[in-house]
Amino acid sequence: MLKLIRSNFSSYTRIKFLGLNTQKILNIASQNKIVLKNVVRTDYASLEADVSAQDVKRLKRLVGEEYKCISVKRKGVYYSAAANKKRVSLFASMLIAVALLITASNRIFVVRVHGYENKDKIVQLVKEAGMVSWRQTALEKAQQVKDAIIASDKDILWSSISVKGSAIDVYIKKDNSLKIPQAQKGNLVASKDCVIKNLVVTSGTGKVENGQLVSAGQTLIEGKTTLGETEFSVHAEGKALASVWYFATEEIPLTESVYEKTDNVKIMRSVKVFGMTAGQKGNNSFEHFVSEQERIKCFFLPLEIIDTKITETKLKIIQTDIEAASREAESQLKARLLSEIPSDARLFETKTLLQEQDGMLKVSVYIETIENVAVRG
Amino acid sequence: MVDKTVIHSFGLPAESAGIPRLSLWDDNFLVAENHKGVLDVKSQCVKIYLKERLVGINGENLSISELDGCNLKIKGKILSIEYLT
Repeated sequence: MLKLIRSNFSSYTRIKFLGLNTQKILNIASQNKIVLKNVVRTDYASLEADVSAQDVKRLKRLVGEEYKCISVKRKGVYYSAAANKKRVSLFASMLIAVALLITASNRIFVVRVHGYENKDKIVQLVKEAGMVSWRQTALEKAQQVKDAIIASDKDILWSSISVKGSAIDVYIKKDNSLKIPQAQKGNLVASKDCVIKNLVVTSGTGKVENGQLVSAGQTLIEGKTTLGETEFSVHAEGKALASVWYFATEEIPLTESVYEKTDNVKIMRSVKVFGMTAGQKGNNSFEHFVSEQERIKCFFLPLEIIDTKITETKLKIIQTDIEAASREAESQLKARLLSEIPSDARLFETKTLLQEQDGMLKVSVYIETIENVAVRG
Repeated sequence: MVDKTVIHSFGLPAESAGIPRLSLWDDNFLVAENHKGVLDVKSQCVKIYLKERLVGINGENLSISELDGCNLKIKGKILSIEYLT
């Protein structure tokens, strides 16, 4: 076995000997302890044999000029090394690449989390502990991070960290058993001003009656109950359906002042040379006006003519389109109020009021809802 | 020179005393130890000197797989071995 391996790695040259009585070469080699392998007579006057790299020159010298020696093939580590000995940069870069690969394999690049939904939180914990660096550092900090993971969430039963190759695997076991929710203490109070429609007391004592006007923060259900002469503290539970009013208002002016164009028009002309005003014709004597400008540029000349058309305007008072304005105001107010109303509230009634006062139109929108106003106080 | 009879009686290796030896493995390999030279090499016949005598190995596709000092290995289909002198 070893011989086979050695023979595959050893270097040899296949030489073709040309001449008469080529068997003489075999005897010369035999007498001088030169090993020949795979000796084959290819022709009457030619013989081929494998000679080791170390014996080639000696054999050629012994054979002399009587026979012609032709190298047919060269094989082996010796010849490969000789052919590549000038390729220093190639071997150096191969060495550097291998060294870099070995170095990179000692670094941690990937963190994988198994058995926990909030993977980002765990990855962040691992990174903050400095585990995403050299593998040796990661192994040293594994226990510390494991304890930190368990402490971060009370539902985590155990965690395990495995550092293999360039990856860290974090295994987490969560406590998925059913938990009895703990009862919250405190009375139930009204979250806003309202009129109680229906008070349902599941546990505790009701402090208001149906149809009563209550203010925000007023106790609706108290966490106490009386049995005989003894008073017990209980967990207040219940529901309070109440009418709640949402209100918004906006004022719209009844008249509007606008500047209207008249028939009085003037044209002013000015000339600019190299960007500076060289001349101007006409002047503006209107108190209120609008202007339009037209610029004319001359080709290849630094000359610009500006024509300004001035139209006189007059103040005019016009009546507002009340219907359109009130419709728009109403829709805006309704949209605003609806955004304030909770999603579980039921709309009961919507009212819009229009009122003229001191030259203004007041638009008011009222929305009545039925909703549960009981909240833990 | 140790007597051949003594070597044979004691079961000592013959090649250690310079006595030529031919070993035939099936009909594909032949090892000749302590030969005195090669007279001819052909694919049908290989002639070698063993001490004073000439031995011819006849066969098909014969070639010398290794020639090392006084040891010689022949491979190929060996049909007959004969003393020519």
